[in-house]
Amino acid sequence: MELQTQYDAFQEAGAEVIAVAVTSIEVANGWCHGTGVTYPVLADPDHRVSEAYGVYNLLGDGYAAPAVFVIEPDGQVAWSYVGRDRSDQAGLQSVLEHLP
Amino acid sequence: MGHTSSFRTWAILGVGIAVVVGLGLLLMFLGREPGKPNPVTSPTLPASSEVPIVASVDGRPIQHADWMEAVLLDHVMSGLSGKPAPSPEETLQRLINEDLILNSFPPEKEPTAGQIEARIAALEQAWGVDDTAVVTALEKAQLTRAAFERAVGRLLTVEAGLEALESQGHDATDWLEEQRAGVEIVVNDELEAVPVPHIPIAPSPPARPEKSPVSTPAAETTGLSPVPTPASETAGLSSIPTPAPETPSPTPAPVTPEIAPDFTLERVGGDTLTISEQLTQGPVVLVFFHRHG
Repeated sequence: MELQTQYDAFQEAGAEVIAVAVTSIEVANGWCHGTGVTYPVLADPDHRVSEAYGVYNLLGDGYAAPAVFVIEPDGQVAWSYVGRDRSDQAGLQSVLEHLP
Repeated sequence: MGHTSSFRTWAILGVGIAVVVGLGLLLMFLGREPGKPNPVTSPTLPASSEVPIVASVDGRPIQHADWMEAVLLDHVMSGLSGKPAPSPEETLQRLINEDLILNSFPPEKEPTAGQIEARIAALEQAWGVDDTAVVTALEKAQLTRAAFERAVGRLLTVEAGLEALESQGHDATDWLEEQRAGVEIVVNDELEAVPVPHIPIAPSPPARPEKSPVSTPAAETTGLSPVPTPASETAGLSSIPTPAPETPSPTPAPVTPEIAPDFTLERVGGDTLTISEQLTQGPVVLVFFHRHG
């Protein structure tokens, strides 16, 4: 997972990375098995959280659109990026620049 | 069944194990035709008025469509792993070998979705590509990820069959030779003539957006595409009939929250995580995966 290679940079910037996927915990466990992923990966099987963040099914495929939210400790969303297709992802530098 | 046991199998079989994690190696191995000539007999394929059959193994048909899909998958996988693709004939021989193995050592249970995804993730790691690159390569060959998932599921069942075979004291190569000598294998030469489209596949770097993102106002003036991808960069991969790029029908503008909604979700490895509790320790970068990162 590409995110893993960026994880150190986020941690050095004082932020924790949390990944969410619209899938079952069993499948998420399968994804991560043996891949060395160290950041938390959460399963959102009923897409409740993805919907709350406004990213569920934006691509019409029953998944979350790829998206990043930078959240400040007080809960304010400092910045967000929602991909317009499944390969449209925020760049590392962009996210780092928006960390508080 | 872990990769370690797969490696052990290959080592015992005397097959080079320079290649990592399964698929490429297994495909290569299974695609080999054991030493003696293939006992192809005159075409007396099972009568099939509707589904074209490319070969049969003791009357068990191998459908032409399955063969073609396997050929295309082999091509994609070889491209991603940087290895030469097997010929269509080699792929057919692999399918015949797989049939022989699965017929004698049928799976006790089908692999789970979790096992399949774990192997896909391992393959992607070995190839140095992400899932997006794999899906893109599959789409160039007009294949879906579901077809890849099926192929990896079959790989796992064949691996299980090989392990069972070995656990009974057989040498896989010798066993296959014996089997092929003892069964009727019929290949429909007419269907072999069906041209296989040339599909240039190359490992793709992880995709980067070149379009403007949908973002909160604060982000609008920043360079959000650190590695813009020229449109021409992928042109070399598009010289085949490719369906129109997957552009989801009218994408509604996302309405994202200004205050992060609190939630608690189950996390990989056990336990749960509550984002409000995490925020007490500092800012959070919350990433939504489309399928997986």
